[in-house]
Amino acid sequence: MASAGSGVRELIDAHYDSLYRYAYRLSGSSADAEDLTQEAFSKALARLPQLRDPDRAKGWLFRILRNAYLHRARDERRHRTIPLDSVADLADEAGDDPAPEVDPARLQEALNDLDETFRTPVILFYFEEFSYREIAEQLDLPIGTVMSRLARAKAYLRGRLAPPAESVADGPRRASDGLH
Amino acid sequence: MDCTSARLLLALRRPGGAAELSAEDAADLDRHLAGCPGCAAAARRQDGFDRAVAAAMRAVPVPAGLRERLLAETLARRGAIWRRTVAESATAAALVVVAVLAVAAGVLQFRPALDTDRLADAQGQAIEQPERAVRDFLQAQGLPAALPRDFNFALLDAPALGFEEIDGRYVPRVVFRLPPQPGAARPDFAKVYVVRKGLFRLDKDKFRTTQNSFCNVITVPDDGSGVGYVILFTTDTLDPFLKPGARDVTRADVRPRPERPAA
Repeated sequence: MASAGSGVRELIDAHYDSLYRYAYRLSGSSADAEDLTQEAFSKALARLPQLRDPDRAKGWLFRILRNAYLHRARDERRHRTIPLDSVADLADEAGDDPAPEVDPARLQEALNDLDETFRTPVILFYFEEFSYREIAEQLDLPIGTVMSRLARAKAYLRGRLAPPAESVADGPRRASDGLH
Repeated sequence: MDCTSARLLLALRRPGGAAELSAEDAADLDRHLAGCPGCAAAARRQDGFDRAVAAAMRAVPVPAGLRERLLAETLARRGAIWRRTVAESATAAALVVVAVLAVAAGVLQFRPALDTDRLADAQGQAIEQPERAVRDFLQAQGLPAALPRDFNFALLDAPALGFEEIDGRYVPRVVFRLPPQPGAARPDFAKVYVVRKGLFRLDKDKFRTTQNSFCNVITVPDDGSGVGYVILFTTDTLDPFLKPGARDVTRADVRPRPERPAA
């Protein structure tokens, strides 16, 4: 990068929208998302010399943003989340129906109720299509733990978001019932 | 591949692809799905659900003007960081300057004061008690208090006691001066250099006239006291600088001196 100024401008241009969307899905609030995005870029600016490989800027920024979010969440302790102990890893026997439409608002409600340890990997999985290995690096977790959490979070989302008729009849709904 | 293995691999697939599977696993899974309607249906359901969730996950409208606000705020912070860095650097530099000045002030503060009274007393003693002044001076340098001849201390010159640099080495010396003689260009003088052992190699005790000068030289080697002497004088003999009645014994190789220029 030529300089701190041009470096930050390039980072913002390349990543501000995906970073904002990530922040929104993490926080569930547009105001918080904008604040988090701003905070992430500000911290990135201060730590810019640490970014040795520009190709890893996206993961680096996402990690900074998640840490900022966790810091705020710890301060606010506002999330009342659902434990996923009773959710099966695989809940996929739902018949041969066409792909459901998922309402983004309902998705956000489901995410808001999900513990951050499950919410973050599932957001990264669906939203930014990080690989399992990249998610594991982001979260400082073993890849097996990431895969396990992803499976349970996906099962939880299927239970929350699948059409009611299907949910009543099949496993995912039963799994999610245990969360309420 | 059986159905259990196929379902496990399905769980690892990403929306729209098999990026997390090895090529071999992906090929095995595709072969199984081609022949297993149940697993193929499960794969379609999972892919459909994953695509739907992924689309909903990305469906976050980005606020208008967000990029500009981020740029403005971040660049403003960059300016603040830069100003703070400059301020911190300036503060650090100022602290260094203050520290240097403080040290300098301390050094200046703790320099010994020049005791002008003592200086005046010493000068007064040199005038009133010249022999004692010479003795004190030599003893202060750790040298024998006595000179090698019986000098007339009444002839002690005003700036008599001090050091001369000889070949980069400072040598204590005492200067005697005769009263000005009518017609003489300058008063005759005698300088007694006190040379510590090891500082220079001295000739044996002798009296000689130097070439092309008006000075005679007497060298007095170290006699065990740790010092030798060099007496340089402008008269024919050292006698005029000695006390009344005293005579210098080192005259062996006196040579005629060149004519002195008239006044």
